[in-house]
Amino acid sequence: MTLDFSVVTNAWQALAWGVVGTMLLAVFGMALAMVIGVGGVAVLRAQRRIPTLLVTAFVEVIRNTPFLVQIYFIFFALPFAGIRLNPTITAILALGLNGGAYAIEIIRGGVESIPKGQTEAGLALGLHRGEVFRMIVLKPALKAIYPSLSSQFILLTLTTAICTSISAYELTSVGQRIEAETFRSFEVYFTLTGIYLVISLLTMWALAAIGRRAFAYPDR
Amino acid sequence: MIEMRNVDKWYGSFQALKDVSLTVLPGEKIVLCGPSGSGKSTLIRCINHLETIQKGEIVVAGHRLSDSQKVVDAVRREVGMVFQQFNLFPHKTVLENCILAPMRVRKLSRADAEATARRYLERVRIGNQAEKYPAQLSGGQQQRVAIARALCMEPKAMLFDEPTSALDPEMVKEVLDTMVSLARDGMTMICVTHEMGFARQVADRVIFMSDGEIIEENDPERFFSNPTHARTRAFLGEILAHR
Amino acid sequence: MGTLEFTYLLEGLRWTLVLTAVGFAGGIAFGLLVALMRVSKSPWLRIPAIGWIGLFQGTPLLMQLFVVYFGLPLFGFDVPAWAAVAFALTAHASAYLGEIWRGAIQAVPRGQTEAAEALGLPSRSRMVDILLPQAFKLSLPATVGFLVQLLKGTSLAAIVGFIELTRAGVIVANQIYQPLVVFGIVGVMYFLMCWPLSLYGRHLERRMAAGISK
Repeated sequence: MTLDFSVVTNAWQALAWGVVGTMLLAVFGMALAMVIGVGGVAVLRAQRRIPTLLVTAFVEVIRNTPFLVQIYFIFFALPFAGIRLNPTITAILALGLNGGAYAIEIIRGGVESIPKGQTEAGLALGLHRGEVFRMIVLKPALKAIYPSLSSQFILLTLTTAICTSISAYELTSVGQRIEAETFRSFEVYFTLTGIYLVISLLTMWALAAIGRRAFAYPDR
Repeated sequence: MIEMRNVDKWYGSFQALKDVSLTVLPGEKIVLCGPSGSGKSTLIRCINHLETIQKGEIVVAGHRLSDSQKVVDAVRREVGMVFQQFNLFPHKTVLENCILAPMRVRKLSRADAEATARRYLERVRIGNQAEKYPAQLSGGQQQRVAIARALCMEPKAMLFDEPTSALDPEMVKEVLDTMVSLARDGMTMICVTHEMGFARQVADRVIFMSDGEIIEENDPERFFSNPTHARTRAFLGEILAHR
Repeated sequence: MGTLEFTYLLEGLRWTLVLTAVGFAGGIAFGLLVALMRVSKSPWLRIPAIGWIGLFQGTPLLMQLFVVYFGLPLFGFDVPAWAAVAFALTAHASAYLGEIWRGAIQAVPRGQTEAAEALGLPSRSRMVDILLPQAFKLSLPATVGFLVQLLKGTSLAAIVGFIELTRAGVIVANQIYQPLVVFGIVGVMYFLMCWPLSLYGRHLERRMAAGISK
C-alpha cells in the first residue's frame, strides 16, 4: 500500500475555493433557515388552523425524510415549475428548507421559555406587542437557544457535503473532481475529512466567542 | 380616577369576577385582600387591560376601556404596575429597564429619560446600582427597581400585584417602606397584598374579595376591629394566626 | 411506474433496513463502550473517547462513508460494499450514541452515586445496577431520535454507489424519466418508516417531562 498525498497538496488552491463554497452554502443556507424559522414560529403563534397545519406538516415531512431525497426532489421539481436555477442556488434553497424545519422547533422552544410576566411587564409599560417581542422577548430567547442554533449551524455546514450530489460548488464536489482525475480516492477523502474537522472546530470556537460577547448579561 | 361598573370576567366557563363595582378617587389608597383565587389579581389586571372583561365597563383617567389600541395605550401611560415576580428585563441594566418605556412610549430623549430614571432610582434608594443587571441584585432591590421603572412613566396611579409575596422575609420591609413613602406623596394606589400592617398604615379602604366578588369594604380601623362578614372574619383569623 | 420498478424500490428499501439495523446494533454495542470510556476517571480512556466523538460529530457522514469505503481495501480488508457501509455507519453511530449516553449518565442525579457509595457498592455495581438503568431511561427519546437520523443517513450510501432505497430511486428515475413521481414515492417510504419513530420519541419525551414535574 502506498499513499500519495501530493495529488491533494498540488490541488490546494481548488480545495481552498471549495472551502469558500462550503462556507457560503452554509451561511446563506442558515440565513434562509432562520427566516423560515422565525416566519414559521410567527405563523404557529397566530394559531390559525390551516396555516398551523401547513407549517406542522412541513416540519414533519422535512424531519422525517433524508436530505439527499429532498435535494433530488427540489432539483428535479424546480424545472417542472418553470424555474431554472444553477445547482448552487438550488443547494442553498434545499439547505434553507431543511434547516428551517429544525429552526422552527428550536426558536419555538426559545420563545416559549420566556416567562409570560416579561411580556406583561412590557405591555403594562405601554409598549406594543411588536415592540415587546423585539425589545424584551427576542434577546433572552436567542440567548436561550444560541447553543442549539450553533450546533444546528455546524450540522448544516456538514450537510453541505451532500450537495455534491447535484454538483453544487463546494468542498466535496471539488474533491470528487480531483478524485476523478487522479483515482486517489482515499487520499482525497481523508484530506477532506480533516478539512471539515478543522472547519467545524473553528466554527464552534468562533460561535462560542460571538455568543459570549452578544449575550454577556448575567442570568442568575 | 378609576371606575369599575358591574364587571364580569370569565375564563372559559369559570367566572373570575362577578358584578364587581369599584370607585377609586385621585390620591386614594386601596388594599385588596382575600384568599388565593378570589379574583383580586384579576381585578387589577383588568384595569390596565392585561385581562379583558366580558361585561360591565372600566373607566381609567377619563378613558373608557375597550379593545381599541389607542385607548389601551392611553390607559397604560397613566397606570403603572408592579408584579409579584418583579419582571425586570434580564438583558437590560437597571437604568436601561427604567428608560426603555419613557423613550419608546413617552418619546423622551435619552438624556431626559436618564435624568428621570436616576431621580426615581435615588428615591427608591438604589441610585448607586443603576449600571448593574437585575440578576446581580437581591429580590428586594429588584422589586424597588421595578417600582422605580413604573414611576419613570410618571403614572397617575399605581397597581401592585402581591409585590412582597416572592420576597425573602428580611426584604419585605424595604419594599413596604418604599410603598409607604409613595403613598405619603399622594400617589393613587391599588395594592393586592396580605401585609395587614401596611394596610393599617396607609390604606383609605380595605376591600375583601372571595370567589370573584367584593364581600366587604371598609376603612382599615373598622375592617380589622369589626369585620361584618363571616368569610372576612375567617380569612383574617387565618392570616393573623400565622404571624 | 409499474410493478417492476416498485419491486426494485422495495428491494432497495430492504437494504436500507439492513444497513440501519446493522449500524444501530453495532452502534449500541460500541456506543456503550464509548460512553463508559467518556465518563471514566482515567484520562487514558476519557481522552480517546472525546476525540472519537469529536471526529464523528465534526465531519460529514458522507466523508466517513468515503474514507471507510476506500480505506478498508487499502489496508487489506477486502469486504463487500454493504459491509464497508455498515462498518462506517456503526462507527458513526457509536460516537453519537456514546455522546447521548454520556449525557444521560451524567444527568442521573449526583445523590444516586453518593447513595450507592454510602451503601459500599463497588464501582462496577454502581455503574451497572444504579447508573446505567436510570441513564438508559433518560436517554430513550434521544436514542430513538438518533435512530431516525441513522435511517435517513443510510441514504448517503447511494452516493458511494451502494443500491439502497435512494440509489434504487435514482436508477428508476433515470429509466422512466419521472423523477418527481419516483422521488415522491421514495420520500413517502422514508416518511412512513421515520415518522412513527419520531412520534414514539416525542411520546417518550413528553411522558418523561410529565414524570419529572410530578
